[in-house]
Amino acid sequence: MQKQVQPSGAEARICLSDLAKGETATISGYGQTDSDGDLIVRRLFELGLMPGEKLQVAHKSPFGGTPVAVNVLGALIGLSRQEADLILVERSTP
Amino acid sequence: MRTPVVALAGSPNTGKTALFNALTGARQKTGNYPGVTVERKTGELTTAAGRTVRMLDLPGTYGLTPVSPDEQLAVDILQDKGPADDRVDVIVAIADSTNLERSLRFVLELKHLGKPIVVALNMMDLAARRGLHPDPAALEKHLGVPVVPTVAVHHRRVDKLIQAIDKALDQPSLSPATLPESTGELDRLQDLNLEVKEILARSGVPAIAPHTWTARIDRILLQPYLSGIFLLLILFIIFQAVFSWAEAPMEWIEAGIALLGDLAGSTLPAGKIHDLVVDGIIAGVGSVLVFLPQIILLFFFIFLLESSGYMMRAAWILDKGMARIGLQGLSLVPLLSSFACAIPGIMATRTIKNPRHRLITTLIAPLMTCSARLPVYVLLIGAFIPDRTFAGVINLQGMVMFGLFLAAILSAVGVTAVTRLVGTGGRERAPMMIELPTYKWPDPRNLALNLWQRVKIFLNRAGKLILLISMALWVLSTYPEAPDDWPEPDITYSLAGRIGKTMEPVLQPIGFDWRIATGLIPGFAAREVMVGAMGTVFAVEDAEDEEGGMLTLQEKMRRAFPLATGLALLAWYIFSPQCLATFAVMKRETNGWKWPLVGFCYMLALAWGAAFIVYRTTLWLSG
Repeated sequence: MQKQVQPSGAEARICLSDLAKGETATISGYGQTDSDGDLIVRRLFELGLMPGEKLQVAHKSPFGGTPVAVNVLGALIGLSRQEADLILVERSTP
Repeated sequence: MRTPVVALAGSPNTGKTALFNALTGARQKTGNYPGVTVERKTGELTTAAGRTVRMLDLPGTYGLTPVSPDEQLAVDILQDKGPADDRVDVIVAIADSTNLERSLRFVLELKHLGKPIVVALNMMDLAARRGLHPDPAALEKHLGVPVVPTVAVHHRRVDKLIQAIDKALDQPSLSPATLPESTGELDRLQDLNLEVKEILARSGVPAIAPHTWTARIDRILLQPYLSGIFLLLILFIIFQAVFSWAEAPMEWIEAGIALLGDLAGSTLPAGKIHDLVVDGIIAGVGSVLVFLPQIILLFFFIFLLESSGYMMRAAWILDKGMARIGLQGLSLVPLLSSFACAIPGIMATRTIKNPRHRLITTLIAPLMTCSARLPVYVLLIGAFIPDRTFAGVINLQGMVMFGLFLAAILSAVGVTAVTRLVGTGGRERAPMMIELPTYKWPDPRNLALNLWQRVKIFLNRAGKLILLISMALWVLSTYPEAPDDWPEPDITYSLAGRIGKTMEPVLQPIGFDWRIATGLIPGFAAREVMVGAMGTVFAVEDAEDEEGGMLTLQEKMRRAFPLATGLALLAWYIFSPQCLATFAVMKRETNGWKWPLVGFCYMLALAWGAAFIVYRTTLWLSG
């Protein structure tokens, strides 16, 4: 996953779990993964969570912020903490 | 000549199974792929040209990069690496018309395999209702493969698809498109994603319209603080319905079995064959058939939850809590099914991708209070717990019943916690990456077909086992035959009775005597058979002691055993591994004897331990 783009600029390395409910963002890449991470990233790609795609946080657990459910490519995808931490995003400027 | 094979490939939630049902109707066969517990669904279809085609419903996948055994199998078959019988001639690629941007990527991947392909634009009706009108002709032009609009839930509108399959069968396979060497998996997926966007733009397909109803319902059902309460409420209503609606049909089945028993009893000449049929087969198989209404109802509700789109949301809501105890949200379905019967529950663990979680769910499924425990609970509670009401509403007997359910769930949590200490291999924390589909109305025709298939599987797998086990246990509790002057009930002379007496020393510390031990043995066929067996032991034994009239079994047991024994027996039944069919299914699903053996031993140990604690504590408290 090393070759995925890292976000640049002042607001570096925001991940999906940092977003509040209702916020939109663009996926910029993926953070560090362990050996099983490749498989997870592959599945995330298949579910439409690819760099460049826009997403919106639709639901967020009030207890610790995860799991989250995000709208991406016209579908609602549920993710737990470890996946939400893995996905790096750039906030859309309102 | 070889029958051509047409494979249905598509992502979950694209209406794949509904389309398969529409194409093949009831001409379906379900089984397992050799060596793996992945369900293999095939069906037959006769095309307009009179050709017979074998349809293969592949496990749902999101692409050609598998992450679980069932996905691996689907991908292998699509690439001709699967079983030789399943060499695919034509692929039907299913796309969800309400979300082409998402589903066409997989279609493109399939196209690159080089096999003749037909794209089914499924759920065209739902797309139209949401103001989306994808043009099949334009898509066909830009995708370069035949595209047919379908509405799988209405059987009309699959004719065109069948015609297209016919045409595709006449086409030769192309050589698979070669991918540029350097591109990695992820780059390839990203390129395909861009290609889809381009094709859609050129075909004039509008951007995705969000499903407003789904968002509205989710605003309520996934409301941050109330979502858990809604889920509990839904589960509670389901349980209420399963138990109250099933009551009447269960009585009919019981009456029917009794009638059949009487009929067989009066037609067959008296003798061993007569006893085997009446007491062994009809009583044994009948005692399981009785639970069919509950099983059907539970499956009915599970189908509603699944096809409406709520089940995945339930898994999403529960995931964190389940992860905390070492499971995942998807364990909900098998555990829920196990409240009717652990057998379909264990078969339902296949939906869990993480092998470790699947195994743990399989091991704790038999702890759920299955309906076979209920007759035993009813008998014992009626015998030992006074029918008293506190504060006008709380009935003591009802409280005990509730406590038994609660104890089962808590012990499942406890066992799961222990498995975290003992490594069983595999990844502990499973990722949750699930699609929460749009809400849909369940389709009655698919509901009926689905229920019929599940019932058939249950009767096939469980029925045969129960038949065998009932016969074996009848032999055990009948032979050797007691001589005429045997002073005790005949059953004590049989092998089962002798085993009961041999076991007595082991069971004495928990307050059971040989009579209970003897009742427990036939209970291995199915727990509730214990009720009948106790009836046999007591009916004969106490017959002479009674002067005025017959006593009910409950009264006899109350007189024969102290309260401590009754409570210990209740505790025993929360855990007892007393349904051999469950372990046979466990063996099938885990491909070996190791895990059923582990399951049997841990449950036996828990049963003995719990009964011991309850027995000793009650004795101590009652002085």
